[in-house]
Parts: sequence; structure tokens; C-alpha cells
Amino acid sequence: MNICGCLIHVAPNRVEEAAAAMVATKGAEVHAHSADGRFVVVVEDTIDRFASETIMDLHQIPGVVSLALTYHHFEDPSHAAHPPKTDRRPR
Amino acid sequence: MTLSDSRRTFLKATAAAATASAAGIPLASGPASAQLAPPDIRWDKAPCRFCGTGCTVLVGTKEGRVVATQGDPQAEVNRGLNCVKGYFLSKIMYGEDRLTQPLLRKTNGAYDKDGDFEPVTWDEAFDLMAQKWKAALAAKGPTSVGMFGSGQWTVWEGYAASKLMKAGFRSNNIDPNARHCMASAVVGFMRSFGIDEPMGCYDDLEAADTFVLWGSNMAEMHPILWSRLTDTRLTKPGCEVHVLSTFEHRSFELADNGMVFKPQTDLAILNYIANHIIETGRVNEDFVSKHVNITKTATDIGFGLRPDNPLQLAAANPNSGELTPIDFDVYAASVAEYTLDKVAELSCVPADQLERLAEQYADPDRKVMSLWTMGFNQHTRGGWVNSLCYNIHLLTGKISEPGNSPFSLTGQPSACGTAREVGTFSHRLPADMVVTNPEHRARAEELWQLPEGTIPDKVGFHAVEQNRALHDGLINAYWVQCNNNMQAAPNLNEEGYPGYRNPENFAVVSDAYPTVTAMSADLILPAAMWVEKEGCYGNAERRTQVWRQQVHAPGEAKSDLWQLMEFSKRFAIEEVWSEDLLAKMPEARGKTLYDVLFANGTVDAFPMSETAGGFPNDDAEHFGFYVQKGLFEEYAAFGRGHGHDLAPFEMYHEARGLRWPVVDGKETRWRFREGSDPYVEAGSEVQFYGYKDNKAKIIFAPYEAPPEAPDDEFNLWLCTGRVLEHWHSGSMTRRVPELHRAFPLAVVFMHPEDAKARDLRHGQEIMISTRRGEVRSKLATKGRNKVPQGLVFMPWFDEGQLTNKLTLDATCPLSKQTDFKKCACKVERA
Repeated sequence: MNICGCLIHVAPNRVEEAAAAMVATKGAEVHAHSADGRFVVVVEDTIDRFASETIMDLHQIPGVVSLALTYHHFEDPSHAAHPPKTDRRPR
Repeated sequence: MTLSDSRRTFLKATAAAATASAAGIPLASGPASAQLAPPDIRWDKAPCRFCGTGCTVLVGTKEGRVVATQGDPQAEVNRGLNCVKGYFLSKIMYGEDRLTQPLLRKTNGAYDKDGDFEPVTWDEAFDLMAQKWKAALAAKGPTSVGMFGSGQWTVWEGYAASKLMKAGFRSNNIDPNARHCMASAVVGFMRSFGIDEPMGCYDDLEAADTFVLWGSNMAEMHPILWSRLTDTRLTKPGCEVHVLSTFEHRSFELADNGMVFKPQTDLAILNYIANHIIETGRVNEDFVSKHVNITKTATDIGFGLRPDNPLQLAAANPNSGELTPIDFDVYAASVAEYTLDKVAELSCVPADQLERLAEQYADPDRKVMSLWTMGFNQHTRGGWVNSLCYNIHLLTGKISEPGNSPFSLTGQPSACGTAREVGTFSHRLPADMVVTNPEHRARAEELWQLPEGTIPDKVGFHAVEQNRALHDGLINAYWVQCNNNMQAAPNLNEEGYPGYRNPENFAVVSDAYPTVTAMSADLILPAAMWVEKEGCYGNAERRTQVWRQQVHAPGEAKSDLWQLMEFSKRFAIEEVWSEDLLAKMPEARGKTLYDVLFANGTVDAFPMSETAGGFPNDDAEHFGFYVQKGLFEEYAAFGRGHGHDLAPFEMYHEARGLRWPVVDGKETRWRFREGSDPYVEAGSEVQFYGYKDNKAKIIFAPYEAPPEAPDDEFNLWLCTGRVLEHWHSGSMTRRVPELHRAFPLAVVFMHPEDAKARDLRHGQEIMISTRRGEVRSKLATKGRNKVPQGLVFMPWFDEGQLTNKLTLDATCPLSKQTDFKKCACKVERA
């Protein structure tokens, strides 16, 4: 379970289209925004996407120039990491 | 797994409030407050484990596990924000394949270099290791042992390692992975200013009018600094962002002037800017005459390849850093050939864009911050190109004041604090001192309470040389801590792998995970990481930051500090020091290396009672004294009064870091500037006190071609680097399932026309090869990076695609840092 608070900067001339794209993103909620194009967005896991994947989607929205996180809660670390299956001895 | 709806709603409100509070944006539901945090979690500060930005995070611990992190609103660096990697920070400790006990290669119960890894006790591990070290020392002397460390070591780990190697084993064969990262930046600082590290600080991100990125993709690699820069660009009228790179990346989104240049021509572009400043009469003559000496550097200096390499043999002045004083007219004549037309043609950047860039520097009314990382540093002329950038700041006097700031960013959390400052390089001692200077050695021996002549006077093997020396059997006992150099170092097929697997050698790797490097070793030691120990890092703006241990390491994993100090107990001083040295310090007889180096009355001066209550400190508990404070204080004695002053230890547990020199409790934001830097004398305005005459150096260097360029067979440039989701070799970030899933496998970015010409499509399996090796990958002709025709970009985080089988181990001959940004490759259908 992941819940994250994100601060997203949008280029001033693309605020409307970027805001629409953010609102339409499943797993993301826009909680507030400022006049200069900064958005407070809360992202959580959905059934088929990790919060992180949603965050990377938000990064790619046209007009988004930077994305930063301020808060991450992951009370149940139930996804233990599976190391990538590769032969690590170089040959 | 599921949470109650009310708990979920509460946590979401907490996330929104923390974010809004950090950004100063009001929430509809009431005043933003970060104080909503759940009450059952203990919060404490720690610097982030990843890059050199030095963000502070608040770490939330519950029942002995880290369960939450948030940006620290009190941190001046990140002001409550974190990047996507910072947000996953705590999960790096909980990967499924975390190492929890030492592992040794064995067959039939005995050590065998070709055996399989089996768990062993720490005693068995250290017994065998000590036996191998003693055998190497007895057979070939101190130059046969070596260590490869890290800009991710804590300050005290790097300090203890350097002391153990240089004073204990009396070998200068210690080097950090920071050699791959910012050695060229160090050379630039030392040559231009005579003292290491940036004069400015992150406050310049709000004070500048123009930002110029020279070979840095800050949007992906330093996202928090990028968000500060973005804030300034979007809110300050007239602010401009100029981005230079050999391909188009995410930072171009914000660029007012984005420039893709032909690899290596940054040398020419910088000289053109100097020429433009001179020709248009905008040299700050008063500043230059008072504060600057002008020199030129020796040219045709080779490429740091093996001495028998034909390119090395052809060089007129291999490895020469000789500087010759010249007068201003000679300098002006030297840059005069770098005309706008000539450089536009050479670099393939349109003339109007180059001129717009040059005007930013020339215009006396604009404050300019230049930022760079690996584009400058991983360069066969990395030492030169750093100084060429200082040249244009010095010509215009745009330096050492708010907003006027040539700024070298770093890639690792303590590349500055540890790797550079405590002296982990093969040529260095603490506080910028070097092993080749007799006065410096004497000073270190005095502070370490060791006899004259303890520290060897010859520079040890540097990173790339260490792999060559392992390959050639010159280093036989080798210890790697806190890095993944098999994956990170260049040309692993021809040097690194044969070196570790050389039957004459015994290689030990300390790590938290079974990395490529660990799996290439003979013995693996399990390491504690990040908040599993008390630590100290120093970031890119000279900010020293300390954190407390929050949780215990799993199983038998131990900190690198514990490992270094415990290992030193296994050596009687007579086994490592020569008789003539012992004769100068007879009281050392019968003692161990540990007694002489660490139980010396300074390192063990502070009792356990000085550690913080309520927090574990496993290292201090084990040794029976406040070991971190003791090492810090012994180390700090090197810098106090010498331009590197650190505050009293306790201040760092309170503050969100302090920028050295810290004198009378006050940090320094702009060095060399009167009123800001306490070392600058009243009435002098500016003093570049790294040099005795208080003057910085302009160092002319010409454009010279790289050692390898595309030809008929290998017809593309290969540039390697990183992506936002992964940090360096991915040994931590690939163990965070979310990050792994976000960018699971490396790809090769190629221009669509180049793909078409090779009959290749986006997503297709390809084979990329160079003269040194080949790697299977997938092609990407779209996505975040847009490369120009003739160049491909490949990230190196993916251990299933070892990018460094391809790279050439050519280095800057002065800094010995590898150029990972340019060699020749070809791409074919797999």
C-alpha cells in the first residue's frame, strides 16, 4: 500500500490541459493548486497500477516541468523486492 | 493489506497537508499543517541515501522498521520536497535478497576460488582475509594490497578506511568510486583555485538570472534542485534557462535555448565564449587584474590509456598538467581562433544560439549560474573543460557572489564530504592535502600520532589502474566497499572481470546485496546501510549532515566502519610495519593495528554516555565508546584553521547540515568573498586564498579530438548515463518493486532515421557492440530522450545488460576519470 503527496510544477501556458490530464489520471487526486501553476496531488495504488507508475505517468504529461514528492506512507511493506533474475557473473 | 477507509482517508489528508505545507499552498479544508502525522510513528531526520543534492528526509520508524518518509520542511536544501527515488528511500533496506551473513567460495568445505558461495562466520571470513593480506604483504609489500571505496561511505567510514590503508597497511592503493564521478571537478578546482569544492551554494538557484546546464540532465538526476530552478524560471521575469547536451533530454522541456552539440566540442564552445567576451570589450578588467593569473596548459597529453597503447605512445606530453604563465594578449590571441562561425560548424550548434548563450556571460547585468555533472567530468579533457568554464566566470568577475556561480554538482551523497574531504583518493590526505608533499605527510602523521615516514610518498593506483593492476597480478589482496564497480567501471571484459578472477588474487566485497561486483568476488561481507548505522555525509554545497541510527541491520550485517576496525584487530603491528619504522615508535610493539590507529586516545576519547538516548548505536556499543564522534573529531582537526573548519560535532545532530568553513558557529555560503567568508581579509573584496598570492588562475586549453570517434565500421557515438527511476548501477533502486517496474530493463535510444537506415524498429531486439564487447538490448526511437542522428544513449543501471562491456577505459590524463560519454559503437539486429 502506497500513499504519496506530490507537488507538480506546470508551465504557466499549459495549466488547463495539464490539470485536465491530472484529474483524468486514475489513482491521482488534485487537492489544491496555486495561481502560478503548482499542484498538490495525492497518488495511491490502484488495482492495476502502483502509485509509482502513476507518478511516472504524471511526469510525462505535456506541460509538467517538475514533480517532487513530500510524503510517502507504506505501512504494509508486503511487496518484498524480487531481484531481477540475471546471471550476475559477467562473462 | 487492506486499510480501513477512515485510515486511508486520514493518510491521504496527511499526504496532501504535508505537500501543501511544503509548497505554501493553502488547502480548501483548512490551514496546511504537516503536524497531522500518525502518532504511533517516531520521526527523525536523515540525509537521503542517493545523490549529491543532500535532501533531508524525515524517517518514520514503527516497531523497529522504517514505515514512512517525508520531505523535511525545515531542510534548507529541499524544503519539504523529495524526488521519486527519495520517496522510495526506505524500501532499499528491505529487498528480498538482502545479504545477512558472510559468504565464501568453497569446494568440499575449503576455500576455492572456483567454488560456490557458502555461508561462513565473521571469524572464518576475517581469518582467511587476514591470512591473504599477510601473505601478499610478506611476498610483495604494501603495494600488493588495495581498496576501492565510495562516495557513499559515511565520513567516518572513509576516514577510517583511508587511515587503515595509508597509515596501517602503508599502501596508497585506495581510491573511491568518486573517481568515476567527479575527479575532473577536483582537478578543475585544484588547478583554478588551489582548493577543492564550489565557492557558491544552492542559494544561487534563486539569485541567478540565467542558468546554463553544461552536460547535466538535472530534471532527471537532481530533481529537487531542478524544482528550485524551475520555480525561479517561472517566477522571475527575464530568467532564462540554457541547456547544452549531446542529446535532447527532459531538461530541454524548460530550456529557452536548448543546444545539442557534437561530442567533445564543449571545449571549443567555452573558448568561443571567452573570445566573445574579449572581442565585445566586456572583460571585467579590474577583477582580472586584481584577482587572476593567466596561464596555459601543456597540450597533446594522451588519454590515460595503458602506457603501451598506440594513442598513449603518440602523445607529445603524456599526462602533463604543466602550466605556463602567459599575459592577457597571448591569452586573447589563443582564443581568437574560436570564432562564432568556426565553432558553429565544429559543434553543429546554430550560430545564433551560441551567440545568445555567450551574451549571458558577457552581459554585465546578468547573473549566471553554470551547472554541470558528468558531461564535463566524464571527459578525456575533463580537467581542462572544468577550468575553461571557470575562465569565463573569472574573465567577467561573475563568481563567489549570489547568483554568479560556476557550480559543479555531484552524483553521490558524500562524494564531497567523504571521498574528497577525508582523503580517500590514491594521492590525497584529509583537507586537500596530498601524499607527495612532505609537509602534508608530516601533518597527518602528527595528528595521527604516528612516526615520521609512516605514510608512503608515492601516489597509489587509481580506480582504472586498480583494475589493470588486478589483471596484471600487481594487487593480490583487494577489498571493495559500498559500490558496484564491476558494473560501473569501464571496459569490464578486458580489465575488471579478468582482474577479480585472476587466480593470484583474493577479492572481497562488502555490500548489502549480491551485486555483479559481489558475485565476481571470492568473499562477500554483508553490510549495514543508511539508517542502520549512525552516519555523516557532505553534499555538493559543502554541507555536512549527520544522522542517527534508526533501526538494526538484518542478521549479521555490519557497518563498513565495524568491518574496517574489526579487521584491523587481526594484525600485530610487527606484521605490517617495517623494523625501521617500529624503531621510531617502540611503544607500539606488541600492539595491534587497531590499538595504534583507533585506540589512540583520540578516536576512543568519548564515552557511550554521549550518544543519544532512545536510539540504537550498534557500532558504539560494540567498541565501547562513541566511535563516530571520536573519528569525526580526529578528522576535524585537519581542517580547523585551514579553510575547512567543521562545527562542534553536536551541532550537526541539531542542524539540517552546515556549510563549511564553519567558524564561530557560522557557516559560509559564498567562499572567497569578503563579508561572507571569514578567511577573506577586510578590504580585499575577493581572495582566492587556495593560492598563496590570493589569485585564481585562468587556464587556456585548446580543443583536442577524443581518442575514439565513429568510423566506417563502428559508426555511432555511444553515450552512457542514467534515468530518473534508477540510481547508478540499480543495486538499490532495482530492489524497490515500484522503481523496477517503472523502468525494468535498459534500452538503447536511437534517432528514428538511424533506425530506418539499419532496418530496425522501436522495441526491437538489437545487438550493440564496440571494439571491446557486445550487449543485447532493445531499441527505443521514442520516449524521454531524443538523440540526434549519429549518437545512441544507453543507461547503465541494468545488470542484465552490462553497458560497461562496451566502454573504453580512456580517462582524463590529469584527473584519471573515465570518459563514459563517448566511444564508437555499432547497432545491429540481434
